[in-house]
Amino acid sequence: MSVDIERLFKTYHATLVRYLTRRLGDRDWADEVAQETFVRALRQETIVNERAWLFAVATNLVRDEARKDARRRKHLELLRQEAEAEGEADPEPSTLEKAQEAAFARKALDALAERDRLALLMREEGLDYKEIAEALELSFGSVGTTLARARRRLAESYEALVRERDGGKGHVAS
Amino acid sequence: MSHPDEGTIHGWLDGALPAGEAAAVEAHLAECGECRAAVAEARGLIAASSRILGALDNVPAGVVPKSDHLSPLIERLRAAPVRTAMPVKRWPLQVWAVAATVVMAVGLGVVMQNSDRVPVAVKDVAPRVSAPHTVVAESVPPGFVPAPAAQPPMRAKALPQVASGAGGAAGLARDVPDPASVLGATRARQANTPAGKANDEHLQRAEAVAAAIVPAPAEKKSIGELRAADRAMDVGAAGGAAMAKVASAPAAEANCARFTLDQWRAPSRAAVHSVTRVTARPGPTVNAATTVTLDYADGPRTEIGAWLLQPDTARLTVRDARDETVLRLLVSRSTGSGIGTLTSASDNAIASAAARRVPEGCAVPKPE
Repeated sequence: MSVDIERLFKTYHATLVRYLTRRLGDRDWADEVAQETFVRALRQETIVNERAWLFAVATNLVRDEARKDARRRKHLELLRQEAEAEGEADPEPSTLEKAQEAAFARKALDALAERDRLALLMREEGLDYKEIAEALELSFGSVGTTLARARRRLAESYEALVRERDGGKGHVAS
Repeated sequence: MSHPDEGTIHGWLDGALPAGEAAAVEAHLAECGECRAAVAEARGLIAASSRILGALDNVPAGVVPKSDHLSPLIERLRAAPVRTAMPVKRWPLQVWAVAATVVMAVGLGVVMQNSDRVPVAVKDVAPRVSAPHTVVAESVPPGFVPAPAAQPPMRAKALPQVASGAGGAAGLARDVPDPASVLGATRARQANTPAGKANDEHLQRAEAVAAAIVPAPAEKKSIGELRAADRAMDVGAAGGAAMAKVASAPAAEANCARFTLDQWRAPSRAAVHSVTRVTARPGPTVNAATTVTLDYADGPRTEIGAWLLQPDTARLTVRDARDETVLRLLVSRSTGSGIGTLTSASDNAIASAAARRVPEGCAVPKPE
């Protein structure tokens, strides 16, 4: 008896892709990792805690790939910078603003410790404390503390970036 | 109860505390203004975090390196063969999976190519392109003069070699359950003469395509079908007219796979077009690319896609050039069922649907 991949996919695919997109900052990459995760699931006879298992496997895949593939990340970063540079020529303020919000959010998220970041992203996808503890191999009791720290630091870093912008040269004159 | 710490407050707000502990926190809050303020702050932090993280969903798709996109996967497949219950029986599939992955890199390169950079492998394939409207043709560098569509002397020479090559590879895969040696042999062959190299690529492509579109057949049957597909692909390579013949021949029909997609679910902002049926046939070009017909509500549309094989699964990726959506099929090779996803580049929407292989293949119902 193997896992019901169809049901698993229907239930968790969207949330897993969003988690990975937030984690990686790249939709295509997130899609690939999500698919690879489901391929792994397909090879399992049974999975006890499905959501925790899927998120743990996806997280490990990202970790493995990131370790092996620093070059690719650099390439992605370059492409992103190119896209941002092109974006700067775009006079539409809402697009600019959105891009800046996303950039700040990315910076603030990247500033978190890895475990804090993952716990927060998993919680945002609806994983409960038990699932987060299992996926990240944390004790149940430390999940609340981890999340509290992650949320506080994320909000503080983000606010600091906004303050820096507003205190600095600010928007390009409209 | 003493003042709950920040972690406990977050746990309480997240509904993660055991009932007894939650009741104690509530009782404490009723009489401690300081902690009520802490709770209010924690609520603010939770809301702020969600809002900040929401900004990350606005990510462009398609920002991936175009040429070496799959190399980590290839490396992983080479380095760590999948553990299965019956590894010896599984080797041939794995070998194909690796070959398919290699070829997939070419296929994806073709599908995803939209710059002037052409991977070496694509350059090697390009001169054999016979259909001028294909994506491959578009990715040929400026100034490239296509070779004549028919190259009888070369093809005639190549055919017997390919046929014997197919037998050789199948024999290796069956008799020597060691992927390293098979891969080694493959790599060694790649270093041969240009003609040998072309044959090798051709063989790999044929293997990949045949194996991909005949999901999980019994081992013996699949080798037989591989050879049939190999021959079919050779005929197909000769040109569009020949291809039409292949498409109607029984061997080619067996190599066509059709899937239905139903009950699209679009959890977020989806504005994607729903595809109801996907038909994959051997492509007009001699590579892992496959001709994919996507049946939309407003009619069919034909694109070039690419297969990626893994021991248990077959994946098809096809990009619809019209509205920049990417359809991915992930199906179990044993059951033919799985899922399809549609990703829209314009608004990042993802939709998913159940995918099922149509057992009667691609047969067109006969008119009355």
